[in-house]
Amino acid sequence: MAPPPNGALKNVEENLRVVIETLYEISVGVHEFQGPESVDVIANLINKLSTQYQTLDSVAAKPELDVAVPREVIQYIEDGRNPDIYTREFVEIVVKQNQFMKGKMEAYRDFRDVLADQIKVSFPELREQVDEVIEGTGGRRKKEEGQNGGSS
Amino acid sequence: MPQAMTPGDLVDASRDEFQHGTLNHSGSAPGKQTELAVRNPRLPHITQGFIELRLLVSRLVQDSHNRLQGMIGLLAEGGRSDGDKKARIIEHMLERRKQFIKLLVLTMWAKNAQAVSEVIDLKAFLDTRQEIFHKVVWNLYEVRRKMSYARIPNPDLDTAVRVLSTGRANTAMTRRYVPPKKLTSKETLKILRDLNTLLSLRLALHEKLPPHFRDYTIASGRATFTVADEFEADLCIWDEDPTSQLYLVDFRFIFEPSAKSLPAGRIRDEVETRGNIILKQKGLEGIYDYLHEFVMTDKICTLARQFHIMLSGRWTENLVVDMRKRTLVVQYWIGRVTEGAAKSWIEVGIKRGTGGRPSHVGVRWIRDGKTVQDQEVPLDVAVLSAENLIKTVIAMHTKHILTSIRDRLAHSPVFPPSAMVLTTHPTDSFNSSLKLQLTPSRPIKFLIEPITGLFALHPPTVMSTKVELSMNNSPAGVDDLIIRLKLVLTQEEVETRACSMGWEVLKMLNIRREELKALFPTSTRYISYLRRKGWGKEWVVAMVLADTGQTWWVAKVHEAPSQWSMSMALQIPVHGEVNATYGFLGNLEKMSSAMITLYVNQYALVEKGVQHKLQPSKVADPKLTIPDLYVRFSSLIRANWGIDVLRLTFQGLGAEGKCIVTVLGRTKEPMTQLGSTNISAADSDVSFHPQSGSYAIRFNINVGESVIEPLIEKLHRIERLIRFVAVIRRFNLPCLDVSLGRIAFTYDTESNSSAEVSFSGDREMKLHLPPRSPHIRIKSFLEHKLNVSGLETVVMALTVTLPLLLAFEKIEAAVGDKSDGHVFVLSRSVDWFRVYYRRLGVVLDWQLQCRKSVLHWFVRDAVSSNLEAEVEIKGGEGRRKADELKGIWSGEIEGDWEPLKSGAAAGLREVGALAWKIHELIYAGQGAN
Repeated sequence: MAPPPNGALKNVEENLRVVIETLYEISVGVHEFQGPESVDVIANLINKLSTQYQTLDSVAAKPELDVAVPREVIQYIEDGRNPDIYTREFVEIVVKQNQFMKGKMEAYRDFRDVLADQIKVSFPELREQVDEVIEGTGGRRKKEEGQNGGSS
Repeated sequence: MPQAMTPGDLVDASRDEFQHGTLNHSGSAPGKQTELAVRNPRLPHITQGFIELRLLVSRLVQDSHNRLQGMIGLLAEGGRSDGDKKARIIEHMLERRKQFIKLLVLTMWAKNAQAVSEVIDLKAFLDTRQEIFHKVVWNLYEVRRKMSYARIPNPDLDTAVRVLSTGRANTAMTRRYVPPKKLTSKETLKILRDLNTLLSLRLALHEKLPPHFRDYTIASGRATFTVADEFEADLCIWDEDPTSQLYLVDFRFIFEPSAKSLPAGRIRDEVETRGNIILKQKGLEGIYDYLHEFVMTDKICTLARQFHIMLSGRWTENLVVDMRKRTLVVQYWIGRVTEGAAKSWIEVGIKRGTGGRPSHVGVRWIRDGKTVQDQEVPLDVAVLSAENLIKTVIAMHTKHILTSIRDRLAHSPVFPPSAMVLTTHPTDSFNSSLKLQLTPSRPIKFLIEPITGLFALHPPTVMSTKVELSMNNSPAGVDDLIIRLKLVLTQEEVETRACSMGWEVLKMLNIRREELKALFPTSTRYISYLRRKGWGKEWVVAMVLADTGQTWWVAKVHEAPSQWSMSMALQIPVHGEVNATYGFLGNLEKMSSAMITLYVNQYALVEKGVQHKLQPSKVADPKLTIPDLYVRFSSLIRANWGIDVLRLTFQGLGAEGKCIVTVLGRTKEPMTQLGSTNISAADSDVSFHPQSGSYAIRFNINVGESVIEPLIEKLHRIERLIRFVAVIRRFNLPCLDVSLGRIAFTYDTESNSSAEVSFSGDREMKLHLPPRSPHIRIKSFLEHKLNVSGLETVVMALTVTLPLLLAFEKIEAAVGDKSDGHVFVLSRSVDWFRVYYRRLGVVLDWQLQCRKSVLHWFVRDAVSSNLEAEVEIKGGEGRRKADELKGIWSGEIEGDWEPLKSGAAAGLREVGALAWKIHELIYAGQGAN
């Protein structure tokens, strides 16, 4: 069901990891600052970060990265929640709604048939037209063969 | 996971919708359906609310880069501790890291993004389907509803057959019961009586009657409850059971105006239905409350209706009527409310019952924006009349306004309580008024027009119309305007009357405010200046109208270079409200003249340094309290003959506005010797009362003139008179006439000789003698003596010389005409006479001399004592010694005289005889010749 992994997306992900790593390194470096000799190390790290920023930027700008995310998901992450929960909950809602609709459709189909029978009894002259309507709405003629396919 | 439909399934399911439009095309080919299926569109793709990941990454990178640079820049600036720098760097890195981790999480999630997006599309699709299903239900319902009209009901064959067979529908048959037998009158009566009994028992024993619902009568099978001025309700029972409910049979209003009974229809049904429900649930208490409330509501509505009718009549635009729930609000005097002023209105509503009284329709009165607590607005609940109600309120309001104006005016001295008459009518304010006596001749009625609430003055004049307008523009200043009007009218009236009385109204006399402030009350508003014709230019009477009242002043003014200036003002004592009648103006003239006169005289006395004081007059005229001026006599003139007090009194006005002033004094001794002869006849200015020694001097002067100088002159004359009288008295002579300039007296009664002395002021005194007086020959000597030595010497001279002079007269008379030129009497002085018998050449000298301390007349022969001298006188050649008289000189001829060889001496009385003897002797000789 999932779409094929997007190379560009992977690329962005990796670069992000690198940046995160570097940011961490810098903070550790600064924290354990030893003196003048550590200055070069920090400077190098910052230069590295700067370069990584550039790389990330260029990677993200590639046209292959054609991904959009819903605002709700961003809000989830911003609030520190797992975006997968969003995905799961959403899917569950849609499943429920789908089942509900399915029930409805079946109920209507039954109602259609009952109504058709009653109309045919009350107004026998309309029999032909009623049958056509049933057929046109996916039902099958009751009296005759009934080989006409319904759904899918 | 539950079985999910693929989008394809759903598209299939949606087919019926797409075919709906083609439903009428019956018998369409199946191929067409396939075609439709192919043309199934993709699910609509939802992009709203999606953000591109690329954008997020590039924004975050950009932002982080900027921040990094910013931070590095900050660190390079220096001036910060290493610790601080470290903390900053670490903080920045960790914060950025957090952001990137979020982005990483999002990126990782984004792998599913495509699939999730499709689920979202699916959800949106399902939502629209669901909506369609809902609609279908509604559509079906609508079809069903419309179908019912398509149905044809079954025919009522039963009735149809009946109508067709009998020709009419027998409706009575449908009731399907047997009508009961009609009751006879007797039966009816019995039932009603039974009902009456039952009701009496029920109400007396079983029912608890509410306090205000106890007045009932029982008749005709029903109990009629009466609530005064509200309603009557008929109740009855349907059951003997005392716990069964009572029923409302009828209901009637018993107040005016109202419907006599409730008309059949909705309202009546409503009242009956609800009344019966209430009777069942809450009994009599409930029905009373219900009907009571119903009636009160109806009353308020009735009033509201009446007010609305009034609005289309003469009250239009002057009332605002408004119903707020069950409260009727009526604002009145709309036009009177100027900007910012408070409104006045009444609220007719339900007042809570207090003290055992039921709730009732009452009136709350809001007067000028304030609820009136201490006054109850009467409302006739038996006969409702909106007009009466509003008129009553307006009358009360009018009374309030008029009363408060009166009370406020009463504080001002300008309006004495007697000048205000307040008339109030409890319901009709057309008859309420505040009558103000603005001036004694001009009463004015202050009214409030009931409908509009505007102030009005009656009778209308040009001025009152203007004042009316101002009053209505600023109702707060009414008192002041009234006071002003009064003052202006007073001024006008006084000035008009004064003019007709011959006063001048000095309109052009303008005096600086500062000067007036110092002299007149500070609250002065108007001043009228009046001057009596004939007065000096410097004197005016000022009528000052101030908030503190009306005052009159005498003022002295003089013309300054640019305007007039007032140097002093004396208040004229006028008490209370002044009616400027002619009498008053007359008194005013008197009073002011008196004050001016007294002031001027006082001023003159002050200048002279004469002691004096003013004291209330003993003759009290209630209208005029003019004081008298008491002057110290000895201080005025240096003399001591009088009692030391002079009283200067203003007596009044004479002709042409002249002042009559009298001065009263008394001599120390009485002047009884004067007798009661008409002592003052000759001089009307001065009169004496001899017994008491008092005298009165009268002056007739112009207003503003001083009498002090003429007084001093008069006093001098009196002094002289008194001195003369004393002399005359000493000689015991009868006075003939005494006046201030003249004294006439008799110095010899035997010969009836009299003389008169006249004196006036500083001029020489004159002696007047009757034409045949023996003293004529020495008049000039006497007059001289009078002015040099005084009256005393003269009187003495008169008495001393009289006998001799009478003798001379006798001699001259005896000689007669033939003696013309023969006898001469020459007066050398008052005490020396020479008798010259010219033809006979005899010269005799009579001289008054003292002999042994007694005055004697000495006579001697002038020639014998000094012959040569006499003869040498021109024309004296013929003079000779009178030898005829030797007998007398020698004493041979004896008489009442004394011989003195060459002369003789005789007493003052006896000298007449001697003179005559001598004359006889001389003429005897001649006669002998």
